[in-house]
Amino acid sequence: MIKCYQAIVFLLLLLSLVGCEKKYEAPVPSLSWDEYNAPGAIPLTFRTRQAAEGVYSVTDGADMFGEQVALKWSFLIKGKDTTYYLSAFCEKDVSYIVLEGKRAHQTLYFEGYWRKIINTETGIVRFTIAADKGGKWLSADKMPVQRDSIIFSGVFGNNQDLPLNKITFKYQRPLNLKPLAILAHRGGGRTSDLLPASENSVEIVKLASRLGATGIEIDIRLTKDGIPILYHDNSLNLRLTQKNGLVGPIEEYTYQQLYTFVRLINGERIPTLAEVLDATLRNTNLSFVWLDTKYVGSLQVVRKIQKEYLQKADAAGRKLEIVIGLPETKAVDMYLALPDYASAPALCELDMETVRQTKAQIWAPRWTLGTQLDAVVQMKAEGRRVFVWTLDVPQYIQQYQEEGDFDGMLSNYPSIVAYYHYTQL
Amino acid sequence: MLTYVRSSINYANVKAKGKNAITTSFTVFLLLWCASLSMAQELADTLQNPRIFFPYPMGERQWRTSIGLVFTTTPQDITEEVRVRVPAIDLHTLRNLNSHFYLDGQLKSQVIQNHLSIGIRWAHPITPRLSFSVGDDIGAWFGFLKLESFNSRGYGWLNYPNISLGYRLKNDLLLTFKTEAIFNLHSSSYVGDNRISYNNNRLNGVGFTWVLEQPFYNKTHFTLGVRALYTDFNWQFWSLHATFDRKIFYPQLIFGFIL
Amino acid sequence: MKVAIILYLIAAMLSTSEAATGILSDSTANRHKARGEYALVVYAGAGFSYYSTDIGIPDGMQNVNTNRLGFPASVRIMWHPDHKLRLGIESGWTTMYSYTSQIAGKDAQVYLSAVPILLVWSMPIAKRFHLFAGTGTYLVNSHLEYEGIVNVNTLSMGWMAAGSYIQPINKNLGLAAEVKWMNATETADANLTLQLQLVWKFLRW
Repeated sequence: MIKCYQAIVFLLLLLSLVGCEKKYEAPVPSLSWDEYNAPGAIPLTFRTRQAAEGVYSVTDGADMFGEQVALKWSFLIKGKDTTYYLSAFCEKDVSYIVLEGKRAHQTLYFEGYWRKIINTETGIVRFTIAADKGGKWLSADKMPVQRDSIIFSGVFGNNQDLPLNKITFKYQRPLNLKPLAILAHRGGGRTSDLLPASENSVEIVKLASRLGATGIEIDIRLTKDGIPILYHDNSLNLRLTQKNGLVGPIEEYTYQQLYTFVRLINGERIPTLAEVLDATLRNTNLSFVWLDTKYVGSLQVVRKIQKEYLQKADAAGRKLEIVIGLPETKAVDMYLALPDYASAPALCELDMETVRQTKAQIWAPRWTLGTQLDAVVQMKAEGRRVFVWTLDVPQYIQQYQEEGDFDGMLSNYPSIVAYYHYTQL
Repeated sequence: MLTYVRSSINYANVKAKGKNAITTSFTVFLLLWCASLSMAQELADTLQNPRIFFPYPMGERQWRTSIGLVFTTTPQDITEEVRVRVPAIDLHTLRNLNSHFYLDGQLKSQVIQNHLSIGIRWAHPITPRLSFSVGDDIGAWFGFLKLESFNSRGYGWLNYPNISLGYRLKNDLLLTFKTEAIFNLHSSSYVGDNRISYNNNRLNGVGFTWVLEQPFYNKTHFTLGVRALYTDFNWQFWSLHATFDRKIFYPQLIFGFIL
Repeated sequence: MKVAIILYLIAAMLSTSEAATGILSDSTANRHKARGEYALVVYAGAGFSYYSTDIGIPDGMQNVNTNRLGFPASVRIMWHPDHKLRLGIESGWTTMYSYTSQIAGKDAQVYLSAVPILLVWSMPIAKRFHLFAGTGTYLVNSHLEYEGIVNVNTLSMGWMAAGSYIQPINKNLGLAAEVKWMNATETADANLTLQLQLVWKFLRW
């Protein structure tokens, strides 16, 4: 009898062992829709793309994506080619949809994937805009003027499954175009959010616009040989990098050693600051870069690169701000030690007096201090902009947009910031 | 000031209802209480060992208390590179009610955030070595964080229906396996003047605890255990406002001295 | 860590079937009897280790040679009370793995080792057989030789689980053969070690 009880206890122990730490993944599904890839399909024109943007009601699929979505285009330049993406920003479970579009005759086709960023749910999504549902009208490059004038009819599925669930968007109104800097944390999002690119990589920066960002925040450290690179943590670790045998502070390694041995979680190399700014300038339409200073040392080399890329942006006629972030007093000291600090664009996270001392053009208080309406108004009266960081809770994002007076919002979930912003009446 | 109530997030495949669980638990305990009162013959307390977790009627003993520490390993998903074992003071008290019933109260404190739970247990010995209990605990937590960059506070309610299985080994060693469900009934957080609330009606996670209780030094007995939590809400990390809708693994080490 | 504790608990369960005896086992205690002897016992030994999980070698390496074998040493001090469950601390040193390779004609070498700092529990499960489980921290050292030398340390949470057979030599001394799994979880390094140990009950009261 006792042996029997022992066996039961043993079994319970083993059963409770099952699971331990689950590894979560959310791979982007691969796409192959014959109608979308038909030979006669042609790219959408600028006017068609512009006309399709707006706030849409969700008449089928609201239980998955919420009652309404904001549709907005972004693009990625690869050499001489430009790819346009239509993103749908949704409220429900911080979900978003990324689509590419084509037109065949008077019908528009869209293919892409959806993702709920707070969990691992993802899948394929396909839309058409039939000729009589706005396709004819969009093909003629006309702007929508009334409700339900454009209807996206489609299907979505889970993971790699054939999409069979009905989804319908109906045009309601134009997007809210009041200016707000929507800044994506760590170049576009955290590695822990299971995005298809690693945080602080060139690849995530190229993805940021599709996630709703108009700008990015990136983390700057120096290698042993003084090269500014992007990396968040103090140490090389398995949270951010693939296993390679190298551990400890990243500042102990030269750039060549990191380049040779270290790959980020999704296989990318740790990028230099120059590589990321180059990609931002040449490949994206991002307009703001926040350099978060994560090291102690001289800011000279970062300032030199900042200056170089601001000049390149000017020369290219590109609207691009690059600011040095000052998260703590050591960074302030490093900044004030720059011979030309007064002309180096900066963003200060510390108290208002320190902001004034540094002459930073942007004040960035932590969101956990609240909306601080009076302080925000005061700083704005002094000619500064105010960005709040790092706000991820959807309800607070909504409240801060409705009740606060911020010029920018930093988030790991730029898509939900974009949703609340673009749908605001 | 607005109150936002999270309405119907897609809580995959989980239909359990927290409030229903409390109602069900209450009914079950009421029936068990009546049954225990009507038992013609009281069970003798054959187990003399001091214990806190071991599921066994308290016998003649009216109170039993232990004090110790619970270490929770911070999860990478939320705390990223900061991987430490965060200690909490753990005060655990039992109060005898009758031959089968006792109350179980527990305070876990990290000063700036605290969790108090109280619950009822119905314990029953099956054989001289094997016994079990069913119980239900209601937990309340509150925390406040007012530092340089924080102006936050929060509170909430949880429900923990639980079942324990105890096996008495040789040499006064008591082995307990406890499994519990975790229902996050309500949580509210304040940041400055802004507030959000969550009213949940679902199973947030489960916990498995293995505990050894035995003599330590002189007349002292001690408790050594491990608790594995798989939950999408852990009150100890409320101030980090994690947004993940995924079950995160929180291993805990339990040390206690039975007074 | 959880695996270690579960192994330990299984040991606790199995221990009901057979009382442990032998020079280093406990003097069986019963709460109703007078408390027995307490002792401090040191376990010191060395042996071989085999790195038992994936070695992450980056792409682009040529002529890669890996070495999973090492020669670990450990020292452990345990408090043996008058009942089964014992408590102690353990440290030591162990090689994890190393690899050499060539990158664009240049030699490269990576060598990883660790110093465990663990809180350990143990329990006799049968005559002369003991189980150990520990949790704590590993000080992991990485040594890189490529375009210069880098020698750095990091802390990694981890655990260990071990089983020993102890052959008594006299009243206070024994010789043990121990199989041990060491796991530094944060750096995902694990090895299996086989050690010969001297067991010395150096203090009793």
